Amino acid sequence: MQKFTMKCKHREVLGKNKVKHLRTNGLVPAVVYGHGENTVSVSLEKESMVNLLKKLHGEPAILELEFEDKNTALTIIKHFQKDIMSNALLHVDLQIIHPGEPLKISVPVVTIGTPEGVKAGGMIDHHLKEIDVEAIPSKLPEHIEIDVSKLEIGQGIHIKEIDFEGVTCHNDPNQLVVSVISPKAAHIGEEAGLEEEGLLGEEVEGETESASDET
Amino acid sequence: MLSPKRVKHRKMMRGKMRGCSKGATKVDFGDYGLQALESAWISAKQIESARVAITRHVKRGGKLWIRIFPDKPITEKPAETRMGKGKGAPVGWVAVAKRGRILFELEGVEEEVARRAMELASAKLPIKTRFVTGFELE
Repeated sequence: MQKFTMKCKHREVLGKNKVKHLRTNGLVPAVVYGHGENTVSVSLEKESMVNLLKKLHGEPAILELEFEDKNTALTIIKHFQKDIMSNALLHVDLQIIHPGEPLKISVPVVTIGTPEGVKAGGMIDHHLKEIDVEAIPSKLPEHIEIDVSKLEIGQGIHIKEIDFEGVTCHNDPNQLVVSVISPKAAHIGEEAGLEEEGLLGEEVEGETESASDET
Repeated sequence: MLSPKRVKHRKMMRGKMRGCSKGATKVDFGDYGLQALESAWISAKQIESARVAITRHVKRGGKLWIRIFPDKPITEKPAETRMGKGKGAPVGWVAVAKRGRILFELEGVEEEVARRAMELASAKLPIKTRFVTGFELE
């Protein structure tokens, strides 16, 4: 996993309204917690944090925090919040890690190659976008690479078929990660429209409740 | 067109559309999405029209998710009717889409194809929208 260093300051300013002033001054509020240690509120430079998150593109990374009193803390970016309309970074959660202790995180799945089935007109279907893995931080992968070039239509790759190289996987071994589906199943054209409509109706039934709650 | 299979009540009050969408604000299923920038009622006809626009442009190979569902009944009074005498008869269904909501998601196509397909779908909707990939940050 990639490792980055970032300077941070202890934050005295707490609360929704007071923290707004931090954001206008080019800082972003963050919290450092975990491993039985005291939770510390900190502030980070917004620009460098945004650049880092953009660079990572959803992949996990180790972040070494350098406090103003020269103390350091090894963390991972657990979660970050952004404004849904302006996409402005609002807050970052950083979890303290110990280099020698195993860590459980979700890592994204990356497919390599174009499947034979796709060349024949099929479509690649991603069933699992992230896999839960556990290992010591230095051995944790940034992503799980899966070679899909030999997949024909109707074939797929399960968790048990992936080589995790010394990393423990916490997903069900029989879980399907990626498959190549037939053009008919993948087709979302006019003919499939009615069939799909029924499926979609079922799929969004859960949404129905939330939509009515909002009104 | 999308519509509920059965409902508890045939008619519904209009309601308000204050604030941003509470859920479905991230691209959760596909690679690309179309996000609402305004709040509005989107009719079943408009959703279907947008869906057709996307599928016709993508042709084949893509996977589409529709993340709004028209579950709100709309009523109308007949023409030249005096006010009163109760609420009108149901005439259709709408989805309440508040700003920030992801309306459609697409997977398995090139970004340029997805962008154009979403642009065509946007033209069928009564609101301003934007194309999103889920990794936008400022």
